[in-house]
Formats: sequence, structure tokens, C-alpha cells
Amino acid sequence: MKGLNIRQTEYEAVIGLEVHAGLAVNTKMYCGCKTEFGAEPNTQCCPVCTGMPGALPVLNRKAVEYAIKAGLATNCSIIRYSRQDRKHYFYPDLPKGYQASQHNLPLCTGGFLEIEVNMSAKKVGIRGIHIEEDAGKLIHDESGKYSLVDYNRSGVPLIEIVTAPDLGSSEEVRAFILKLKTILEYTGVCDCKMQEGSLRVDINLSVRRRGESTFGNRTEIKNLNSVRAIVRAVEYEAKRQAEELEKGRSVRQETRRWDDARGVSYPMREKKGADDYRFFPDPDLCPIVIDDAWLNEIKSSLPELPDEKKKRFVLEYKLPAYDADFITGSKQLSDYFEEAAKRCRNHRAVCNWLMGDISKKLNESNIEVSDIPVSPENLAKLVELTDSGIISWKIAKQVFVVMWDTNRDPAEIIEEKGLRVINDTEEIRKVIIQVLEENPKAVEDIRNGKEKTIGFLIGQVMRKTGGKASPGIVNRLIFEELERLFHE
Amino acid sequence: MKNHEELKQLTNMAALSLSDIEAEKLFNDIRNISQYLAEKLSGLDTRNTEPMVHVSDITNVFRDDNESDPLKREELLSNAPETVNGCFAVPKIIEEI
Repeated sequence: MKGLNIRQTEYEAVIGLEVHAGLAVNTKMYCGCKTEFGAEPNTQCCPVCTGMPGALPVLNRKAVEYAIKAGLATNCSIIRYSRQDRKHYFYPDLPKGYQASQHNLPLCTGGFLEIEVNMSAKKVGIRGIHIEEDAGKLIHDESGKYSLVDYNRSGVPLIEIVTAPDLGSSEEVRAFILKLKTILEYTGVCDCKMQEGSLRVDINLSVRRRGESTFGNRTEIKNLNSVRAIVRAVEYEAKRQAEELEKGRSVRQETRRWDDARGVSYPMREKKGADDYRFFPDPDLCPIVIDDAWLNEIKSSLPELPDEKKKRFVLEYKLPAYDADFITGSKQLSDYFEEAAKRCRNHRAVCNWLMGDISKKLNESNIEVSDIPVSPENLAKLVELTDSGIISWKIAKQVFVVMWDTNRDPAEIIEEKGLRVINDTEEIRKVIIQVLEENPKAVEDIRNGKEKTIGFLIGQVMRKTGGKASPGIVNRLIFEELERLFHE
Repeated sequence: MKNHEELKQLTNMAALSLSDIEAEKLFNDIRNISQYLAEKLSGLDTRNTEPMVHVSDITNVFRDDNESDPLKREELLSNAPETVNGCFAVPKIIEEI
């Protein structure tokens, strides 16, 4: 980044986030319409979610339970008497003229998450988590005459997670988002498919001179839906504000939009007059009372969370802390790991496959962990086959490539392609003798003390056997044969 | 309601456009109604009244997370003044919120 580097200046950023997470429920907040992503426009709609007169919304119990789960997993207090409020504004994607949300009595308050950046831990406060309904989607018409509205998303259940302004850098923001994402995935509250918009982030950011206790004017950057865009927007905005102050100007309190293609934020058109959402309790929606029995039921449905799982993986599978952290960073990856690990003895090898070849493949092909084409069963078999010396490590890598494309049983692939390690001493000896005959110069060099050349000869043997010769046997025999030659 | 400025803000938020005559009439109506309410309320003794959180005494009305049939799209769109490609067509929006 050119120009001012905020890290080297007397300014520091103060950042708070609002995270909108789409709940992984089947139906909308107040009606039985599906929440599925990517359907034909306006095919998942009914009178309730399109705001037809006289329609009566009825709250999805599971959405409430998921919001409470998210609260429990982020150390929040759960309110016992909660209410839903109407938030009013006019926009075509909001058919009722208001969004059902929660203003004064959100379901969850006062939590925190612990993040780790540069080896130091930090607590990030969570002010609250509330439920609200999503709005529809505006599509821009090619003719340029209209905006088109698709209400499939209207009424889809969301939670909004609001943090305290405890974050101070893009690294901290990144660590927080990843941690939150992991927790939402673990609890099953949200699928966190950011490319489908199921996790969207608003950034509130201001800068001030280091050590100051008052806040500067802040800007809000709306609706970011990738970790990369969030990190870039934070860096850009902190720098932009510091430069404004440096030039003796003040920062305008405003809402901005992030243009990821150009890598800049720009102010959104000003609305006339201050926002006034005229919140009031929604008379169509009854208060939510959470008693001990219900709360305990939700508590008992919470799965093992990432921090606990990481500790267990270190103890149970003897993974190094770094590896355990990597694997448990994704619920799906840790599930995959356990599925494979319980079917073989070498757990470290499973972990190495996941962190190495499999992660590489995932990045290259841009697919999700849930879509890994190799089943955990087959990966476990591959690990066993390698461990028991039936194939070499090098061959295992070749077999893996075939498995990735076909998800076939590795044992079958090995038999079909004849990749089994050659343990037959006489067969290997024949190859070695041939290699020594073909490379008299190398043999001569070794006789004159250039022992390194042995490596070259071993390489030739492996080449002739297609990498299948047992390295232990090759090593032993090549010395035997050289000795024999030199004594002739 | 103290002045016409307040009325203007209110009509803006409600997306209403009023003629001067309508505005004058509405201003007087709202002022009379709110004065009447203010008088009634100030006469009440609320020292022992709990704050009301919601108008309804009923709590916990829920549905299970089960799908129900959506409206047919033709039916859903049948009241729309304009439709394009299965969508409601509205005057072009330049900036999103």
C-alpha cells in the first residue's frame, strides 16, 4: 500500500463489527417458505414474507433457539423476556415498510470471544445478538428502466452480532471473523457460505491518536461478504482517515461502500435528514419468554466448541498444537479428521494429508471441505497401506491423485496399476546389477571415494522400478553389490 | 406537534406529499389529538403502574421449522403494476441502502 502506513504513525484504529449471519433453518422467520439459496426469483414467497395486508407472521422456534445457541457459544447472557420491534424505512426490498428486528430487548447480551494475534490473546466484547428478518434482493434491469425485486430472501432468519469497539487492526478483525465463523459452523447455527451471503459484515471504524481515550468520528462500511474484502476495507479506511487527520481535516461521519475491484471505499449518497427508524414493539409478534427448562435444553444441545476440541485433539491424537489449531479451525475438517483417524493408527499422517495435499487441492479447486471427493474411509486406507509398507510415500502421493479424481479404494488402484512395493530381494538385485553395468563411470567414482554418487545409482534403481522398490532393500543390496564388484 | 417543520419531517418519513391546505388541516388535527392525549395522560396516576413491554399478554407463539407451500408466482405477481422476468419491477433504484 502506498503512502501513509498507519502502523508507523501516531494513529490507531478503533473498530467494531456488525455481523449478519443467515440461520441454517429450513424455513423463513415468520412463514413456512423455504430459505434455499439460488432458487428462481419469487418462487419461495407467500403473503407473510411479501407483506400482503392481513397476513399474520408466526415466529420460527428454531430461529430463536439458534440465536440463543450462538449467544451461549459466545459467552453471552441470555435474556429471559425478549421482544421484537419494527424498524421502519422505505425501500423496495422491504415489502412491509419495516423490518422485524429487536431493539431494546435482544435475546443475547454481554458476551465475548477470545482471539489470538501475534501470540497474544485478546478478549473482544460482544454487545448483543438479536434476531431479525432479511430483506429481498434488488436486481438491476438491463434496460435500465427498472429495478427488479426478488422476495425469496425476504423474511429469511438472520442474527446480528454486534461487537464492542475492541478491535484495533485488520489482523484482529480477521482473527475475530474466522473465530466467529468457526463457532457458528460448529454450533450449526450458520453454514457461513460467505459467497452466498450467509455471513455479511458491516465495519464501524474511527481513528485517534494513540493513547487517547475519546473516539474520533466514525464511518460505517456496509455489507462486506469475504474475509479478504473485510481485511482490505479495514486497512484502506484506517489509512484514509489517518491521512485526513494528518492533513488537518476532520473525518466525516458517514456511511461508505467498499469497491473491492478498485480497492477503495467511497461515501454513499446522503439521505435527507437523520435516520429515524421509529422502533416500536411489533404488535403482531408476541414476546418471547425463555424459562430454565428451555434454556437448559438448548445448552445441552451445544456441541464441543473449537477451543475444547483443539485441546482434546492434542491429548487424544497427539497432534502438535499448531496442527490441532488448523484442523479444528473448521468443523467439517475436524469431523473429516476424526472419521479418518478412527479407522487407522497413524493420526499424524491423516493430519499431514489434510494440511498438505488436501488443503492444496481445496485451494486450487476452490471447493469446500464438505465436497472433498476422497472419503475419510479411503484416506484412512491409504494411510494404513503406506504405514504397513505396501506402498511407498511417493507412490501414495500418486495413488492420492487418482483417489481425488475417482474416490476409489486405494488398494484397488494399487493392484490395478501394479504399484505395490517390490520386496522381492532377487528381483531388486537384478535391477541393481543392471544399473551398475550401465553406469561404469559412476561405479569408478565410488571406487575412488566419491560416495555421494551412490545416491545417483539408487535414483536409477528407483526409476527403473517406477519408484516401487523398497528403499530399505535397495540400500542394503546396492552396498552388497558394490562390495562384490570392488573385490572382484 | 410544535411546528410545521416537525410535520414535514413526519410526512417525509411516511413518504407522503401533502398540499399546503392538507398540511394545514393535518397539522391542526395532529396537534389537537396529541394535546388531548397529553391532557388525559397527565391526569393519570401511574406511580404504581409497571412499565408495559408489549401490548399482548400472550407469549411464546411459535411455529415449527416445517415447510409450507409458497404462492404460485403468477398469483404472487398478479397485483404488481409491472413485472419483468418473474420479478416485481419498480422505478430504478440508484443507490442501495
